[in-house]
Amino acid sequence: MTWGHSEPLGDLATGVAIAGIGEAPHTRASGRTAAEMAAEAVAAAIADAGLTPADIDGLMWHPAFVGQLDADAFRRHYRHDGPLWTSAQGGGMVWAGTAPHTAARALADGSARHIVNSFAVAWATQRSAMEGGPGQSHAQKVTKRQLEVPFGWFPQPVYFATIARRHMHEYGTTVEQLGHVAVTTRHHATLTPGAVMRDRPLTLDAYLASPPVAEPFRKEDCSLISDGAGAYVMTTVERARDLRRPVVEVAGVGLGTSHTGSHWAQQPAFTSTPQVFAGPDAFAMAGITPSEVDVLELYDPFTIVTLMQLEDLGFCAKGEAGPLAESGALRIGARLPTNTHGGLLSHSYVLGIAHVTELVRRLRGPGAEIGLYGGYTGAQASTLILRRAR
Amino acid sequence: MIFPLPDLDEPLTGGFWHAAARDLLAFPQCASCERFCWYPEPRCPACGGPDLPWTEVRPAGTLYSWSVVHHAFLPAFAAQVPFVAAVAAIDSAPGVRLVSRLLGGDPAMDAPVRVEFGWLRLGEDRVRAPFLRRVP
Ligand SMILES: [Zn+2]
Repeated sequence: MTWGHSEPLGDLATGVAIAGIGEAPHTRASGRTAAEMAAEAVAAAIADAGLTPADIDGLMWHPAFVGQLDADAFRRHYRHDGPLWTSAQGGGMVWAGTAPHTAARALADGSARHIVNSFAVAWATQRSAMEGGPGQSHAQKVTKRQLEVPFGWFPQPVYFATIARRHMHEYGTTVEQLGHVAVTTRHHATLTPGAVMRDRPLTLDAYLASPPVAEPFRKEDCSLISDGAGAYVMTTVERARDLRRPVVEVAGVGLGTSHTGSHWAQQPAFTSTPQVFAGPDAFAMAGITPSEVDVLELYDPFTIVTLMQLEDLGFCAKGEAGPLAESGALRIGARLPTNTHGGLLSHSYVLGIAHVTELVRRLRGPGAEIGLYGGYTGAQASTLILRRAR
Repeated sequence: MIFPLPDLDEPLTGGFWHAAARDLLAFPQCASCERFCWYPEPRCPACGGPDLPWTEVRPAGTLYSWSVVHHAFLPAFAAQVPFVAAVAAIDSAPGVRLVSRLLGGDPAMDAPVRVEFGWLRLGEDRVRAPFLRRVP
């Protein structure tokens, strides 16, 4: 019995471009609400596309997270009373990767012309108040609360430390190789204006000297908790050509599901992600192979998740991602620049939306034509391949 | 019961804790296809069978992976760290992995472990629970 499957998404309903990107500042506890930050990111994305709020007639968000810019909030904020196509299948994580596929249907059938997708979190602020955050939703899940949390196998850092330990056993992955992911990602953050860890360079020696949180993880193996938001505007490739930015189009989308959901302890392929199901569909849709990808933004809650996705997407053989990271191949300027803004580990913890905005930024500039976002929730993974249009 | 101790009467998972209270290790096993269904679900995901009695299994397994947890992620764990959070494959329940703690240290990959029963404690409360220990 296989442990997951790919979701049959079908071809894109029409050519889709990401025509505008925007972010709200990524910070430690800011005292701001998610909705405020989402509105700021959306405003920036609309302006970046050269549009006005009145041009927006489609809105995507994800209702599983509090305070998102949903239809009511959007209408209130912009005093927008025109038609508005809406989808609650947007936001960050896997949805930051699949939203363009969902949006394509609305763009194709004329339901909308310009669709904005946004995601925001105020988890740093909420943590100060001891509420919210990634652990809380897991503690509310009955099987986890009853069968994992009582023993202290909780929360995410402990799950993924356990997965990393098994990966080390099966493939010879080392603590130093995990460290290379943390150091490379941090290096990229130091080059990125607005990255939370911009002024905090990290050496491998400092990584190795830091105390363990949940072995084999140190703090630097784990994502930040931060406040912030990101947004992007989608339209047809045709319309995007009339807008102000270089056209970055969607080339391929895939979505994979693990049958054990977020019960990682029970996932038969313990050291894999559902990218093994999502990746092939996205590559087939794009008509490319991994060797043609110039830049990667991979959802990286933990260093090991970067390594597993590299393997599961076919950028190296299973078990070879540790040596790949150690070789320096993931650095900007090298063969497979990965998490070029600093990722969840060192840029911000906005659950992937800033990965997509970064990917678009990279593809607008010289040096990269094809880029890939790897989205991940644990239960699912998505692959989004973007390409600078000719 | 104080979080994060389990609720023994929670309908889906209570059978695990009721068995543990008698120092027994039990998992739901499908009456029609005999597959162990873990974590519990209302119906067998393999055949859809609705009858999933808690079935006692031999308290032995192999250590699949672990993490030595140093940071107290919940206030309740502050007095317990460091501890070895562990996942073990249960020998006589194919496909089942038990999440628990390894007692006595010395974790090693795929090492044989036995399940032994002890108390999960929090303040005045305690719950009988299965723990793991390496077989000498
Ligand atoms: Zn069955």
